[in-house]
Amino acid sequence: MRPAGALASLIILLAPVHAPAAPITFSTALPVGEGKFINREQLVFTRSGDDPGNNGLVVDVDALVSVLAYGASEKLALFATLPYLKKELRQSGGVRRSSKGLGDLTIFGRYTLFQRDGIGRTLRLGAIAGIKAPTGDDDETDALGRLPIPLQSGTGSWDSFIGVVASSETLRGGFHSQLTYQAKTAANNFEAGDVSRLDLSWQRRVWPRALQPSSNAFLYGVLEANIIHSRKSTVSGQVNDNSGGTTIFITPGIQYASKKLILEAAVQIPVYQDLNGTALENDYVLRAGFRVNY
Amino acid sequence: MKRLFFLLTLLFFTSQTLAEDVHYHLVVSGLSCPFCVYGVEKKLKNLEGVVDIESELETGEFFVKVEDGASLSEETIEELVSKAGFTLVTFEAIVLGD
Repeated sequence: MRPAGALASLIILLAPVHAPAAPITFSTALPVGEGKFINREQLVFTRSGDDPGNNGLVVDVDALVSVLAYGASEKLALFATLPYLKKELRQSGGVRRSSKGLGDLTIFGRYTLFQRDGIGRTLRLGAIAGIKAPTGDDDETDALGRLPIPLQSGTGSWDSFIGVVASSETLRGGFHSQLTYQAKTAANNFEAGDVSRLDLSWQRRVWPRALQPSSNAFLYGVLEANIIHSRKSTVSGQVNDNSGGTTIFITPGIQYASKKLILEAAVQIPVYQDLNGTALENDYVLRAGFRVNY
Repeated sequence: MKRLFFLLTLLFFTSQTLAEDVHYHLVVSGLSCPFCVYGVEKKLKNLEGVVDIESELETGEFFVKVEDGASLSEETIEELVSKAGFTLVTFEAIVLGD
């Protein structure tokens, strides 16, 4: 069996969908009105099966990520994210290991630092910070013993992250970007590497072509990019050279936005993967979901 | 009977003449999609006396109708729009029918 740390790169793919607004794979600086709730549900199907170690290793992670956003004030929005995860590892020789259950709860806040509004347009900059609590089960076992941490529903660790997010949006579409740094801590003799990521999203309204007074719904074409760098993990204090690295996803998608509902779908395609050693490479990530405006 | 009919008719037309059909015309900036508009509409709907709202996303305009005797202040609307995450540009009361 491959060392648990070799699967560590999977953790970055399980990073919760942060926010209930425009981009599909990350957050936004667009507002959540004071006292308002927005709920987002997103199905995320991740396959990692490009195994440089030639062990026939394939890992599927299916997740339903629930996000609840609340406008605490006109500038401060609070978010809670909780995934339900189903993970399965398959390896040549018929080895199959799996787990399912609630994952780790992430709570974070976003504070609007800058806002410039115009008719039909807005430009915003916000700061985000949050923590991930070890609420998921991290001691699941099967016939082969305890599952490696990346296959557990929870990580067992308290992690934190900070970042900045910017959004520029008009009636024709928008551009969003986010820069974050996630600091990981150790648990169960395992510490995932810290993660830095830059996310970019470009959206273009494709329907209706021309706005009418009766236009109450938009259809957007979406193109996103996710640049994710993960440091090496450690197992029992030893650096795992088969972990960490850099992955770049290009993510085409589509989004339908009405007054109360947003429907969206996207596929994250790894166009560049420079992973250390025999760290398992990603094949694709499929995302589909909705957001409801309460 | 004729006298009663006359008095009722007079009362009807008098009340029609005195009733002020008040609308408010707002322009809000920062709205860039239908999802945003709903946030402002919901806040406006929660105001006492508001009976109908129409909006136009492209121009950021909201037309708010209130029931007879109700009124809205610019300060209230400015605060409400700000809490929704947007910016009030203009506020105008339009009195019809007097």
